[in-house]
Amino acid sequence: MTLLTLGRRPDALAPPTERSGGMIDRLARFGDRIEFYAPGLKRWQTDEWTPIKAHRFVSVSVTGTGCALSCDHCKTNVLKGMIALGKRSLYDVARDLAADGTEGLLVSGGSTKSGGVPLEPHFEDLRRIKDELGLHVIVHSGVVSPRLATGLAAARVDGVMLDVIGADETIRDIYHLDLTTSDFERSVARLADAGLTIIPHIVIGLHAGQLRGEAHALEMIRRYPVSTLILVVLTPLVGTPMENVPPPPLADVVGFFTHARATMPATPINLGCARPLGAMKLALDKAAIDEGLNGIAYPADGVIDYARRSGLRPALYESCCSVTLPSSVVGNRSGT
Amino acid sequence: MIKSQPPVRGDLYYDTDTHVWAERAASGSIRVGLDPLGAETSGDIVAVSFAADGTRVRRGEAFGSLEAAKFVGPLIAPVSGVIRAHNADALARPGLINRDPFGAWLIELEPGDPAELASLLTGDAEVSAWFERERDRYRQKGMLAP
Repeated sequence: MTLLTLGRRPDALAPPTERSGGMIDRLARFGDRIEFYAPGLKRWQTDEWTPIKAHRFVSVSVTGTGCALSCDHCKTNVLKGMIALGKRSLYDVARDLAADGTEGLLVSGGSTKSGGVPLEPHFEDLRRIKDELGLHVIVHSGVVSPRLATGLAAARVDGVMLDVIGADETIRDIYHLDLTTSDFERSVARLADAGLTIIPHIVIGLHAGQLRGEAHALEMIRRYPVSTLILVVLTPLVGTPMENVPPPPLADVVGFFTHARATMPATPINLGCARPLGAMKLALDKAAIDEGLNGIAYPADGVIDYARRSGLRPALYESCCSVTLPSSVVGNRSGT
Repeated sequence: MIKSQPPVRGDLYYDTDTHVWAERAASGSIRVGLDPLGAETSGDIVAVSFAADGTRVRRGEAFGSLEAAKFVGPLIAPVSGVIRAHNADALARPGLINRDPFGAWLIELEPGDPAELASLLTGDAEVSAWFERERDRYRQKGMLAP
């Protein structure tokens, strides 16, 4: 089919003739495998990839659409796409999902005024979901208290995701929290002390499209044994105070990809699902490959083929980019 | 984000699998668009593309693609035909589809088999009841706020 062009024709993608330092180093350390992810967080398919079982990995909000912070970049919009508990328990919701074929959950939710997701009332349910249903469970923690770290470890969750913010003014002005970057580093430290699998996120351009504390966040994260670093990019959402804020400049984001790869050469780094769509998404995905990142969630159309033509061996997972559920591998694309 | 959706139109024809509407124009052509639930559950639409005018599409085949906050994928033709026109405004400003899903039509088809239209859902009562069921279903799946 001939599509009217939007400036994003996949067949226009050609890899650079010369590999970046990040790509060379990444190939040496990780080999030629690149992972692509398509969790059931939204309905998604491209010409290259139609998920077979989209609800294999889904997200649940323990607060529904409620959030005490209602940060400027989100205003609870992200929560609206998650399954709400309503009057049911987390376990009951998970049991029904498991019966329908779901294999993994992202347990998330809005924040309390202290910056944490209120997971404490759900510790026992989390443990039962692991023990009785056998689901893979990742949680969004927000700021971590000692009690939260201990409880999550006791529940044996498979991983903890949290945004690590590296600028006090961003914490104050965007998150409206009376905290500092030390509180976020302390959160990572508590998770590490509890022996939990840590999957930190850095939101590039979180400060209204400007890069402020991203490099500092990276410095904090590198001190701890994190399993995978997830990079996401500020996506101005309609209906939020940031809806008219331009996303961070592409060159700045790509520059941070390069910096992150060089700073954490031995840690898998993935490009997460939150990033601007359209032409910028395609450019970001291409840059993620060029700069030697390890994986991409919801790859733009044409990017799997671009990876192959860049000398990489794509593997496709119907799961969150923080985990690689063995059962969620749906294909390897070698181009042969 | 959609603050409030327009009332459902019972005079149009709906593909209940894809939430695409079809309207028979006086000229005999079929105008096609995304219905309010399709637009709302897609989230903010940021890009749309269409097959070129003159392309023949069959019912169930893609006539274009859509990229939105909560949906990325093909736009499926509700009936077979040849694309005779596309909405340049929707192409240039895809957010129009969120704001006015019935006004921001997508393509016009010269129908190949006029009888196909009759297989789609239409009528005030039928369409209203279906929309309510679909709203409940989407709420249960977390795709619409409770």
